[in-house]
Amino acid sequence: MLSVKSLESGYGKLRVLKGISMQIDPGEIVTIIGANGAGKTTLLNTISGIIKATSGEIEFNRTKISNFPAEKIVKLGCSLVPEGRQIFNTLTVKENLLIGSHTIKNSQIVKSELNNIYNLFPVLKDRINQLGGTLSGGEQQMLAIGRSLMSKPKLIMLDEPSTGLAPLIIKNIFEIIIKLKEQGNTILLVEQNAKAALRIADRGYVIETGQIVLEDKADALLRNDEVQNAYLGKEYKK
Amino acid sequence: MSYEQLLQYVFSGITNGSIYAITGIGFNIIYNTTGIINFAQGEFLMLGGMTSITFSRYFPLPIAVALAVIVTAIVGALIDFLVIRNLKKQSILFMIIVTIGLSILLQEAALHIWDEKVRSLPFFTGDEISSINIFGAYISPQVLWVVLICSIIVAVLTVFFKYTATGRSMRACSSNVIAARLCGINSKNMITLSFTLSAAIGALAGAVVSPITQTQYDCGTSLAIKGFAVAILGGLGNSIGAVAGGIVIGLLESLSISILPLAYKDAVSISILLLILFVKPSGLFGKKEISALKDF
Repeated sequence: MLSVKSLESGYGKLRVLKGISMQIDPGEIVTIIGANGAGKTTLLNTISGIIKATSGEIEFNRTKISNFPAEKIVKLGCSLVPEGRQIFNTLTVKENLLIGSHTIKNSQIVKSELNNIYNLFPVLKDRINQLGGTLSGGEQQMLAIGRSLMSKPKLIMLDEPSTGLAPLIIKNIFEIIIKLKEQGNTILLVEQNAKAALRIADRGYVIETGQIVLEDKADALLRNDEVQNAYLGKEYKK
Repeated sequence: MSYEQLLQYVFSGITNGSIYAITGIGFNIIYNTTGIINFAQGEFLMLGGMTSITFSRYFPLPIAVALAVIVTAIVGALIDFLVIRNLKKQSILFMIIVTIGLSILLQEAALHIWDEKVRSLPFFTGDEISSINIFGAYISPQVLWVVLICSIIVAVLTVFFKYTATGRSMRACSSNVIAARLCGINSKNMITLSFTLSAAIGALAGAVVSPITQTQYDCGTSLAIKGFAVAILGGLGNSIGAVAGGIVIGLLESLSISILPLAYKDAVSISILLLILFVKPSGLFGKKEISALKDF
């Protein structure tokens, strides 16, 4: 579904990604784990078109998207739930969701999708007329995921959905990610919370200073000594 | 002060207030899309007034005003295409400073195209001495035109921003550009649209106030200052608030004339602006929670 080949990108003269190659097949949850500053967010921002790739190739459903602007990439069905949620603070919950369906012109589909999201996140239904910025962190994350789902994406990329949330809410969000997979979605999950991410993922990549250093099945990574030492804490035992 | 006199002050307050309001509304459109304050807004009014005066020599008044609106809207779109779109750094502060430069540029251009003479459009109905008697006080029919057009603009804009998909997308861009792009909105086109729209509305305002305030190449600045004050007073981005703010400032100004020397008129309105910024920065009608969620 998505394939990235020797991708390089960064900010101005700063090279952050130094040749990343990876791929995602339909129906998978793939996770990318790595420390702060390893390039996880840069990778997602480059795939979604917010940052231009300096070299390398990104292919989504056999379309080369490396030079597409962000708004065109969403239209193809590749949607990013950005780091820090980035919801529209001054718009209501319902307006936030409707903006999410900007790429869909059929109002029937929008309506049914809106209902799907209210079923998935009942909290949002109670707050449709509340301003996005007044929601709690967990609710904002749900709104951000809901907004992304409104575009009926084929691939959902989640950037650190657990940041700053209480453990109970994190559990809730991860359950929703599993539910999304069961509904047939393909998911690329970037997380610092490596343990939680690997538990629900099918495969994982470990990224270090802009390069993929390890890739394997998720349960194999969970058992890997290096990964345990670096990302799961030394005392971590299966 | 007699009853008729008081009423006359009130009417003159409403006259000025609606002029300020119609000016202030233009600020809101660009603000609602980009979060920037367009300091060239006054020049859109000036251009609208000037071009409609020129066109009115060759065409009947309604057609002249319509043409002026179209020409100014094109100027607005060009400003975005040639300048704003090509800025390397799309930061808010950066764009605001650019609009200050554009305002000076447009003034100089107008000085060269026309000259420094003061002109004015003919009154839409009647002439400068015709007036309508309401309860013993007199009001120019042009004021009714200003109020009418102002109300239409406010109604249309309110519906547009609240209930149409395009209006909603424009507000989304102002709230968070990157998130808007991630939702598939072409933010650059939205900015073009907002400049076009606010230039068109500025031009309409400039034409309708021209018979009362008269038009000169540099008349935009003074109008823009008052319009800006009114937009802040009513809460930036809120068009109904701008009208209420305009009426409040207009009334206070004209009532101040009855007790203070005329020269203090502007001081009164600017003092109100300062007071609002100290006491209630979200504006009289801006919701506190909304303004806390905005950059400024």
